[in-house]
Amino acid sequence: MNNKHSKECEQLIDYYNGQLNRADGEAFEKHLAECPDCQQELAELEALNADLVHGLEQVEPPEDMESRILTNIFDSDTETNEKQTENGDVKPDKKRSGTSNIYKKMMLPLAAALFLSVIGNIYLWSSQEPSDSLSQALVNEEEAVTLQPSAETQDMDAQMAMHEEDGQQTLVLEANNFTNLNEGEVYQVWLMEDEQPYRAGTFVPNENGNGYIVFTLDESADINWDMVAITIEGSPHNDTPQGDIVMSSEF
Amino acid sequence: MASTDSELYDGLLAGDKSCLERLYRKYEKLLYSYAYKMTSSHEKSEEVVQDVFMKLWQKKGAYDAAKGKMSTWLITLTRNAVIDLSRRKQLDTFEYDERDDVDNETNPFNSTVEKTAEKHEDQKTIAHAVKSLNDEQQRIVTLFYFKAYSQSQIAAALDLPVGTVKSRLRLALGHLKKNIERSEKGGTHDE
Repeated sequence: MNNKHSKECEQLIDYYNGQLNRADGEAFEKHLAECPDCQQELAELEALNADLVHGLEQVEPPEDMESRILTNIFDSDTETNEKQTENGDVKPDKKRSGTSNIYKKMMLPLAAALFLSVIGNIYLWSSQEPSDSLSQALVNEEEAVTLQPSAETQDMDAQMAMHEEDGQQTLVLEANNFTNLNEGEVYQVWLMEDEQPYRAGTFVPNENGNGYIVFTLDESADINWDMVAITIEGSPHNDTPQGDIVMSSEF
Repeated sequence: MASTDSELYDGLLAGDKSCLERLYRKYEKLLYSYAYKMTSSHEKSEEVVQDVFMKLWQKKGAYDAAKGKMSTWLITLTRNAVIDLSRRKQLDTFEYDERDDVDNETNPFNSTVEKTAEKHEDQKTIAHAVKSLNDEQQRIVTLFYFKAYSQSQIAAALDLPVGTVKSRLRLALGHLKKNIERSEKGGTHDE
Protein backbone atom coordinates (compact mmCIF):
# COMPACT_ATOMS: atom_id res chain seq x y z
CA MET A 1 0.00 0.00 0.00
CA ASN A 2 2.70 2.44 -0.85
CA ASN A 3 3.96 3.92 -4.05
CA LYS A 4 7.11 1.93 -4.52
CA HIS A 5 5.25 -0.98 -6.01
CA SER A 6 6.88 -2.41 -9.08
CA LYS A 7 4.92 -4.06 -11.82
CA GLU A 8 5.54 -7.43 -10.24
CA CYS A 9 3.89 -6.30 -7.02
CA GLU A 10 0.69 -5.89 -9.03
CA GLN A 11 0.43 -9.64 -9.18
CA LEU A 12 0.20 -10.18 -5.44
CA ILE A 13 -3.59 -10.36 -5.39
CA ASP A 14 -3.79 -12.93 -8.14
CA TYR A 15 -0.93 -14.84 -6.61
CA TYR A 16 -2.70 -14.94 -3.27
CA ASN A 17 -5.78 -16.37 -4.93
CA GLY A 18 -3.85 -18.97 -6.87
CA GLN A 19 -4.80 -17.32 -10.12
CA LEU A 20 -1.37 -17.17 -11.72
CA ASN A 21 -0.21 -19.90 -14.05
CA ARG A 22 2.72 -21.99 -12.91
CA ALA A 23 5.41 -19.94 -14.61
CA ASP A 24 4.03 -16.61 -13.40
CA GLY A 25 3.51 -18.06 -9.95
CA GLU A 26 7.10 -19.20 -9.70
CA ALA A 27 8.36 -15.90 -11.04
CA PHE A 28 6.28 -14.08 -8.47
CA GLU A 29 7.61 -16.24 -5.65
CA LYS A 30 11.11 -15.22 -6.61
CA HIS A 31 10.05 -11.61 -6.51
CA LEU A 32 8.26 -12.14 -3.21
CA ALA A 33 11.37 -13.54 -1.60
CA GLU A 34 13.14 -10.25 -2.31
CA CYS A 35 10.35 -7.73 -1.84
CA PRO A 36 9.65 -6.72 1.75
CA ASP A 37 6.60 -4.72 0.64
CA CYS A 38 4.95 -7.74 -0.88
CA GLN A 39 5.91 -9.90 2.07
CA GLN A 40 4.29 -7.46 4.42
CA GLU A 41 1.21 -7.05 2.30
CA LEU A 42 0.81 -10.79 1.96
CA ALA A 43 1.10 -11.18 5.73
CA GLU A 44 -1.56 -8.49 6.16
CA LEU A 45 -3.86 -10.20 3.68
CA GLU A 46 -3.45 -13.46 5.57
CA ALA A 47 -4.02 -11.87 8.94
CA LEU A 48 -7.15 -10.04 7.81
CA ASN A 49 -8.42 -13.23 6.23
CA ALA A 50 -7.89 -15.03 9.53
CA ASP A 51 -9.93 -12.33 11.27
CA LEU A 52 -12.73 -12.84 8.77
CA VAL A 53 -12.63 -16.59 9.21
CA HIS A 54 -12.99 -16.18 12.96
CA GLY A 55 -16.12 -14.19 12.23
CA LEU A 56 -17.74 -16.86 10.07
CA GLU A 57 -20.70 -18.85 11.19
CA GLN A 58 -19.47 -22.16 12.50
CA VAL A 59 -20.48 -25.27 10.62
CA GLU A 60 -20.63 -28.51 12.57
CA PRO A 61 -18.33 -31.14 10.98
CA PRO A 62 -19.69 -34.69 10.62
CA GLU A 63 -19.38 -36.63 13.86
CA ASP A 64 -17.13 -39.35 12.52
CA MET A 65 -14.88 -36.99 10.56
CA GLU A 66 -12.28 -36.84 13.31
CA SER A 67 -11.75 -40.59 13.46
CA ARG A 68 -11.70 -40.87 9.67
CA ILE A 69 -9.13 -38.13 9.24
CA LEU A 70 -6.87 -39.11 12.11
CA THR A 71 -6.92 -42.74 11.01
CA ASN A 72 -6.00 -41.77 7.47
CA ILE A 73 -3.20 -39.56 8.69
CA PHE A 74 -1.68 -42.09 11.04
CA ASP A 75 -2.12 -44.89 8.51
CA SER A 76 -0.08 -42.86 6.06
CA ASP A 77 2.70 -42.84 8.60
CA THR A 78 4.73 -45.83 7.57
CA GLU A 79 4.50 -44.83 3.98
CA THR A 80 5.63 -41.33 4.83
CA ASN A 81 8.63 -42.56 6.69
CA GLU A 82 9.60 -44.60 3.71
CA LYS A 83 9.32 -41.57 1.49
CA GLN A 84 11.51 -39.61 3.85
CA THR A 85 14.02 -42.38 3.72
CA GLU A 86 14.15 -41.98 -0.01
CA ASN A 87 14.31 -38.25 -0.16
CA GLY A 88 15.23 -36.96 3.22
CA ASP A 89 17.95 -37.31 5.75
CA VAL A 90 19.75 -40.14 4.10
CA LYS A 91 21.79 -38.34 1.51
CA PRO A 92 20.42 -38.67 -1.98
CA ASP A 93 22.96 -40.24 -4.26
CA LYS A 94 22.18 -40.47 -7.92
CA LYS A 95 24.72 -43.17 -8.47
CA ARG A 96 22.58 -45.33 -6.25
CA SER A 97 19.22 -44.41 -7.58
CA GLY A 98 18.46 -48.11 -7.83
CA THR A 99 18.96 -48.45 -4.12
CA SER A 100 16.05 -46.25 -3.24
CA ASN A 101 13.79 -48.79 -4.85
CA ILE A 102 14.61 -51.03 -1.97
CA TYR A 103 12.32 -48.99 0.16
CA LYS A 104 9.41 -49.20 -2.21
CA LYS A 105 9.53 -52.93 -2.24
CA MET A 106 10.26 -53.58 1.34
CA MET A 107 6.98 -52.70 2.94
CA LEU A 108 5.51 -56.15 2.78
CA PRO A 109 8.59 -57.98 4.01
CA LEU A 110 9.18 -55.33 6.65
CA ALA A 111 5.65 -55.56 7.97
CA ALA A 112 5.90 -59.31 7.98
CA ALA A 113 9.28 -59.28 9.66
CA LEU A 114 7.91 -57.06 12.39
CA PHE A 115 5.47 -59.70 13.44
CA LEU A 116 7.72 -62.64 12.81
CA SER A 117 8.49 -64.10 16.17
CA VAL A 118 8.36 -67.86 16.02
CA ILE A 119 8.90 -69.54 12.73
CA GLY A 120 8.48 -73.12 11.75
CA ASN A 121 8.74 -73.05 8.04
CA ILE A 122 9.69 -69.91 6.30
CA TYR A 123 9.45 -68.84 2.73
CA LEU A 124 12.14 -66.78 1.19
CA TRP A 125 10.37 -64.02 -0.60
CA SER A 126 12.82 -64.08 -3.43
CA SER A 127 12.35 -67.69 -4.34
CA GLN A 128 8.98 -68.51 -2.86
CA GLU A 129 10.44 -71.85 -1.95
CA PRO A 130 10.05 -73.15 1.57
CA SER A 131 13.09 -73.97 3.63
CA ASP A 132 12.91 -76.02 6.78
CA SER A 133 14.11 -73.36 9.11
CA LEU A 134 15.93 -70.15 9.18
CA SER A 135 18.89 -71.78 10.89
CA GLN A 136 19.13 -74.26 8.13
CA ALA A 137 18.95 -71.55 5.55
CA LEU A 138 21.83 -69.88 7.31
CA VAL A 139 23.85 -73.03 7.68
CA ASN A 140 23.40 -73.83 4.04
CA GLU A 141 24.62 -70.47 3.12
CA GLU A 142 28.36 -70.35 2.75
CA GLU A 143 28.58 -66.69 3.43
CA ALA A 144 26.85 -66.77 6.78
CA VAL A 145 28.18 -64.08 9.06
CA THR A 146 28.28 -64.29 12.82
CA LEU A 147 27.74 -60.92 14.39
CA GLN A 148 29.99 -59.73 17.17
CA PRO A 149 28.42 -58.44 20.36
CA SER A 150 29.30 -55.04 21.68
CA ALA A 151 30.50 -54.97 25.30
CA GLU A 152 27.19 -55.11 27.10
CA THR A 153 25.63 -57.80 25.01
CA GLN A 154 27.80 -60.81 25.69
CA ASP A 155 25.03 -63.38 25.74
CA MET A 156 23.54 -62.28 22.49
CA ASP A 157 24.02 -64.30 19.40
CA ALA A 158 23.13 -63.45 15.84
CA GLN A 159 23.91 -64.87 12.46
CA MET A 160 23.04 -63.50 9.11
CA ALA A 161 23.46 -64.28 5.46
CA MET A 162 22.73 -62.61 2.18
CA HIS A 163 21.01 -64.77 -0.37
CA GLU A 164 21.05 -63.94 -4.00
CA GLU A 165 18.50 -65.54 -6.22
CA ASP A 166 17.21 -64.33 -9.54
CA GLY A 167 19.24 -61.19 -9.08
CA GLN A 168 17.44 -60.35 -5.88
CA GLN A 169 19.18 -59.97 -2.55
CA THR A 170 17.56 -61.25 0.59
CA LEU A 171 18.97 -60.72 4.03
CA VAL A 172 18.26 -63.52 6.48
CA LEU A 173 19.07 -63.01 10.11
CA GLU A 174 18.55 -65.09 13.20
CA ALA A 175 18.95 -63.64 16.66
CA ASN A 176 19.09 -65.44 20.01
CA ASN A 177 19.13 -64.12 23.58
CA PHE A 178 18.01 -60.71 22.43
CA THR A 179 16.42 -59.75 25.70
CA ASN A 180 17.39 -56.15 26.39
CA LEU A 181 14.44 -54.46 24.73
CA ASN A 182 12.20 -52.05 26.58
CA GLU A 183 8.52 -51.51 25.91
CA GLY A 184 7.98 -49.88 22.52
CA GLU A 185 11.53 -50.49 21.30
CA VAL A 186 12.55 -52.63 18.35
CA TYR A 187 15.74 -54.15 17.04
CA GLN A 188 16.68 -52.58 13.73
CA VAL A 189 19.05 -54.20 11.29
CA TRP A 190 21.20 -51.92 9.17
CA LEU A 191 23.39 -52.59 6.21
CA MET A 192 26.21 -50.13 5.79
CA GLU A 193 28.24 -49.04 2.84
CA ASP A 194 30.85 -46.32 3.37
CA GLU A 195 29.19 -45.49 6.69
CA GLN A 196 25.92 -44.90 4.91
CA PRO A 197 23.16 -46.84 6.70
CA TYR A 198 20.35 -48.65 4.93
CA ARG A 199 17.43 -50.06 6.85
CA ALA A 200 17.24 -53.78 6.49
CA GLY A 201 14.31 -54.78 8.63
CA THR A 202 13.02 -54.53 12.14
CA PHE A 203 12.20 -57.24 14.62
CA VAL A 204 10.86 -57.79 18.08
CA PRO A 205 12.04 -61.08 19.56
CA ASN A 206 9.71 -63.55 21.21
CA GLU A 207 9.66 -64.07 24.98
CA ASN A 208 12.69 -66.34 24.76
CA GLY A 209 14.69 -63.62 23.08
CA ASN A 210 14.66 -65.20 19.63
CA GLY A 211 13.95 -63.19 16.54
CA TYR A 212 14.21 -63.60 12.82
CA ILE A 213 14.28 -61.40 9.79
CA VAL A 214 13.88 -62.16 6.14
CA PHE A 215 14.30 -58.96 4.25
CA THR A 216 14.20 -58.64 0.51
CA LEU A 217 16.29 -55.93 -1.06
CA ASP A 218 15.64 -54.46 -4.42
CA GLU A 219 16.87 -56.57 -7.30
CA SER A 220 18.88 -53.73 -8.76
CA ALA A 221 20.77 -53.25 -5.54
CA ASP A 222 24.36 -53.99 -6.37
CA ILE A 223 25.93 -52.43 -3.36
CA ASN A 224 28.98 -53.96 -1.77
CA TRP A 225 27.92 -53.90 1.83
CA ASP A 226 30.80 -53.56 4.21
CA MET A 227 29.03 -53.86 7.51
CA VAL A 228 25.89 -55.11 9.20
CA ALA A 229 24.72 -53.81 12.55
CA ILE A 230 21.79 -54.22 14.88
CA THR A 231 20.66 -51.31 17.01
CA ILE A 232 17.91 -50.73 19.52
CA GLU A 233 15.54 -48.07 18.21
CA GLY A 234 12.65 -46.33 19.90
CA SER A 235 10.65 -46.51 16.71
CA PRO A 236 10.54 -48.96 13.83
CA HIS A 237 10.64 -46.00 11.46
CA ASN A 238 13.91 -44.30 12.31
CA ASP A 239 15.68 -43.46 9.08
CA THR A 240 19.13 -43.45 10.58
CA PRO A 241 20.53 -45.34 13.55
CA GLN A 242 19.83 -43.46 16.76
CA GLY A 243 20.11 -46.16 19.34
CA ASP A 244 23.04 -48.19 20.64
CA ILE A 245 24.61 -50.88 18.50
CA VAL A 246 24.16 -54.23 20.16
CA MET A 247 25.75 -56.43 17.52
CA SER A 248 27.73 -55.83 14.36
CA SER A 249 30.03 -57.39 11.87
CA GLU A 250 32.13 -56.38 8.93
CA PHE A 251 31.84 -58.36 5.74
CA MET B 1 1.16 -31.04 29.80
CA ALA B 2 1.96 -29.22 26.61
CA SER B 3 -0.60 -26.59 26.08
CA THR B 4 0.33 -23.75 23.76
CA ASP B 5 -0.04 -24.19 20.03
CA SER B 6 3.71 -23.89 19.62
CA GLU B 7 4.34 -26.64 22.15
CA LEU B 8 1.80 -28.88 20.47
CA TYR B 9 3.40 -28.15 17.13
CA ASP B 10 6.85 -29.03 18.47
CA GLY B 11 5.37 -32.19 19.90
CA LEU B 12 3.90 -33.30 16.62
CA LEU B 13 7.15 -32.57 14.83
CA ALA B 14 8.72 -34.98 17.29
CA GLY B 15 6.14 -37.55 16.25
CA ASP B 16 3.77 -37.27 19.21
CA LYS B 17 0.38 -38.30 17.89
CA SER B 18 -1.49 -36.88 20.85
CA CYS B 19 -0.19 -33.40 19.99
CA LEU B 20 -1.60 -33.64 16.49
CA GLU B 21 -4.88 -34.91 17.90
CA ARG B 22 -5.12 -31.99 20.28
CA LEU B 23 -4.36 -29.46 17.57
CA TYR B 24 -6.88 -31.19 15.36
CA ARG B 25 -9.62 -31.01 17.97
CA LYS B 26 -8.85 -27.39 18.66
CA TYR B 27 -9.09 -26.24 15.05
CA GLU B 28 -11.27 -28.80 13.32
CA LYS B 29 -14.47 -26.80 13.47
CA LEU B 30 -12.92 -23.47 12.54
CA LEU B 31 -11.11 -24.86 9.51
CA TYR B 32 -14.06 -26.97 8.46
CA SER B 33 -16.36 -23.98 8.65
CA TYR B 34 -13.93 -21.97 6.59
CA ALA B 35 -13.52 -24.69 3.96
CA TYR B 36 -17.28 -25.03 3.84
CA LYS B 37 -17.66 -21.34 3.31
CA MET B 38 -15.36 -21.52 0.33
CA THR B 39 -16.52 -24.80 -1.21
CA SER B 40 -20.17 -25.10 -0.11
CA SER B 41 -19.51 -28.83 0.08
CA HIS B 42 -19.21 -31.02 3.16
CA GLU B 43 -17.29 -33.61 1.21
CA LYS B 44 -14.73 -31.18 -0.15
CA SER B 45 -14.44 -29.51 3.24
CA GLU B 46 -13.52 -32.79 4.88
CA GLU B 47 -10.97 -33.46 2.16
CA VAL B 48 -9.46 -30.04 2.76
CA VAL B 49 -9.25 -30.45 6.53
CA GLN B 50 -7.60 -33.83 6.10
CA ASP B 51 -5.18 -32.33 3.62
CA VAL B 52 -4.17 -29.61 6.07
CA PHE B 53 -3.52 -31.94 9.00
CA MET B 54 -1.83 -34.48 6.76
CA LYS B 55 0.61 -31.76 5.70
CA LEU B 56 1.18 -30.89 9.31
CA TRP B 57 1.89 -34.46 10.31
CA GLN B 58 4.11 -35.06 7.32
CA LYS B 59 6.04 -31.90 8.13
CA LYS B 60 5.41 -30.26 4.82
CA GLY B 61 5.78 -26.54 5.32
CA ALA B 62 7.03 -25.19 8.59
CA TYR B 63 5.23 -23.02 11.08
CA ASP B 64 7.24 -20.09 12.33
CA ALA B 65 5.85 -18.66 15.55
CA ALA B 66 7.78 -15.45 14.92
CA LYS B 67 5.66 -14.80 11.85
CA GLY B 68 2.27 -14.98 13.47
CA LYS B 69 -0.39 -17.04 15.16
CA MET B 70 -0.77 -20.73 14.56
CA SER B 71 -4.44 -20.21 13.73
CA THR B 72 -3.56 -17.72 10.98
CA TRP B 73 -1.08 -20.16 9.53
CA LEU B 74 -3.59 -23.01 9.61
CA ILE B 75 -6.20 -20.82 7.96
CA THR B 76 -3.76 -19.97 5.19
CA LEU B 77 -2.96 -23.67 4.73
CA THR B 78 -6.69 -24.35 4.54
CA ARG B 79 -7.15 -21.63 1.98
CA ASN B 80 -4.35 -22.99 -0.18
CA ALA B 81 -5.76 -26.49 0.12
CA VAL B 82 -9.17 -25.29 -1.07
CA ILE B 83 -7.60 -23.50 -4.01
CA ASP B 84 -5.45 -26.53 -4.86
CA LEU B 85 -8.45 -28.81 -4.67
CA SER B 86 -10.52 -26.67 -6.96
CA ARG B 87 -7.71 -26.47 -9.49
CA ARG B 88 -6.98 -30.17 -9.29
CA LYS B 89 -10.53 -31.21 -9.82
CA GLN B 90 -11.33 -28.26 -12.02
CA LEU B 91 -14.38 -27.66 -9.96
CA ASP B 92 -16.30 -24.49 -10.16
CA THR B 93 -15.86 -24.14 -6.46
CA PHE B 94 -15.94 -20.42 -6.57
CA GLU B 95 -18.92 -19.76 -8.79
CA TYR B 96 -20.58 -16.56 -7.94
CA ASP B 97 -24.12 -17.14 -6.77
CA GLU B 98 -26.88 -15.41 -4.91
CA ARG B 99 -25.33 -16.16 -1.57
CA ASP B 100 -22.72 -13.58 -2.39
CA ASP B 101 -25.30 -10.88 -2.43
CA VAL B 102 -24.99 -9.04 0.79
CA ASP B 103 -28.69 -8.51 1.30
CA ASN B 104 -29.41 -12.20 1.14
CA GLU B 105 -30.52 -13.88 4.34
CA THR B 106 -27.88 -16.55 4.05
CA ASN B 107 -24.94 -14.20 3.91
CA PRO B 108 -22.79 -15.38 6.78
CA PHE B 109 -22.08 -11.89 7.93
CA ASN B 110 -25.65 -10.82 7.75
CA SER B 111 -28.80 -11.36 9.72
CA THR B 112 -28.16 -14.89 10.96
CA VAL B 113 -25.26 -13.73 13.03
CA GLU B 114 -27.42 -11.55 15.15
CA LYS B 115 -30.21 -14.06 15.35
CA THR B 116 -28.00 -16.58 17.05
CA ALA B 117 -27.65 -15.73 20.69
CA GLU B 118 -24.56 -17.72 21.58
CA LYS B 119 -22.14 -16.17 19.12
CA HIS B 120 -18.70 -15.52 20.40
CA GLU B 121 -17.81 -11.93 20.96
CA ASP B 122 -15.10 -11.84 18.33
CA GLN B 123 -17.47 -13.39 15.86
CA LYS B 124 -19.92 -10.58 16.45
CA THR B 125 -17.14 -8.09 16.22
CA ILE B 126 -15.98 -9.32 12.84
CA ALA B 127 -19.47 -9.62 11.45
CA HIS B 128 -20.17 -6.10 12.58
CA ALA B 129 -16.99 -4.83 11.01
CA VAL B 130 -17.95 -6.41 7.69
CA LYS B 131 -21.45 -5.04 7.83
CA SER B 132 -20.09 -1.60 8.39
CA LEU B 133 -18.71 -1.64 4.86
CA ASN B 134 -20.88 -0.44 2.03
CA ASP B 135 -22.46 -3.03 -0.26
CA GLU B 136 -19.84 -2.86 -2.96
CA GLN B 137 -17.07 -3.19 -0.41
CA GLN B 138 -18.72 -6.20 1.16
CA ARG B 139 -19.04 -7.82 -2.25
CA ILE B 140 -15.47 -7.15 -3.19
CA VAL B 141 -14.24 -8.57 0.12
CA THR B 142 -16.33 -11.71 -0.35
CA LEU B 143 -15.24 -12.23 -3.94
CA PHE B 144 -11.62 -11.69 -3.09
CA TYR B 145 -11.40 -13.71 0.11
CA PHE B 146 -14.04 -16.41 -0.15
CA LYS B 147 -14.29 -16.88 -3.88
CA ALA B 148 -10.57 -16.36 -4.51
CA TYR B 149 -11.43 -14.42 -7.65
CA SER B 150 -8.74 -12.90 -9.83
CA GLN B 151 -8.70 -9.15 -10.34
CA SER B 152 -10.30 -9.52 -13.75
CA GLN B 153 -13.01 -11.84 -12.42
CA ILE B 154 -13.83 -9.34 -9.70
CA ALA B 155 -13.96 -6.61 -12.31
CA ALA B 156 -16.40 -8.63 -14.40
CA ALA B 157 -18.59 -9.61 -11.44
CA LEU B 158 -18.88 -6.05 -10.19
CA ASP B 159 -18.85 -4.39 -13.57
CA LEU B 160 -15.75 -2.37 -12.77
CA PRO B 161 -12.75 -1.54 -14.94
CA VAL B 162 -9.94 -3.99 -14.11
CA GLY B 163 -7.65 -1.11 -13.33
CA THR B 164 -9.80 0.05 -10.44
CA VAL B 165 -10.30 -3.31 -8.76
CA LYS B 166 -7.10 -3.16 -6.82
CA SER B 167 -7.64 0.31 -5.44
CA ARG B 168 -11.24 -0.50 -4.50
CA LEU B 169 -10.12 -3.71 -2.87
CA ARG B 170 -7.39 -1.97 -0.91
CA LEU B 171 -9.82 0.63 0.24
CA ALA B 172 -12.35 -1.98 1.35
CA LEU B 173 -9.70 -4.02 3.16
CA GLY B 174 -8.35 -0.90 4.79
CA HIS B 175 -11.79 0.03 6.12
CA LEU B 176 -12.40 -3.49 7.27
CA LYS B 177 -9.14 -3.60 9.15
CA LYS B 178 -9.83 -0.31 10.87
CA ASN B 179 -13.33 -1.42 11.81
CA ILE B 180 -12.00 -4.61 13.34
CA GLU B 181 -9.24 -2.83 15.22
CA ARG B 182 -11.65 -0.27 16.54
CA SER B 183 -14.17 -2.74 17.81
CA GLU B 184 -11.48 -4.90 19.30
CA LYS B 185 -10.44 -1.93 21.34
CA GLY B 186 -14.02 -1.63 22.51
CA GLY B 187 -14.79 1.41 20.39
CA THR B 188 -17.78 1.86 18.13
CA HIS B 189 -18.09 1.85 14.39
CA ASP B 190 -18.68 5.15 12.78
CA GLU B 191 -19.19 4.06 9.20
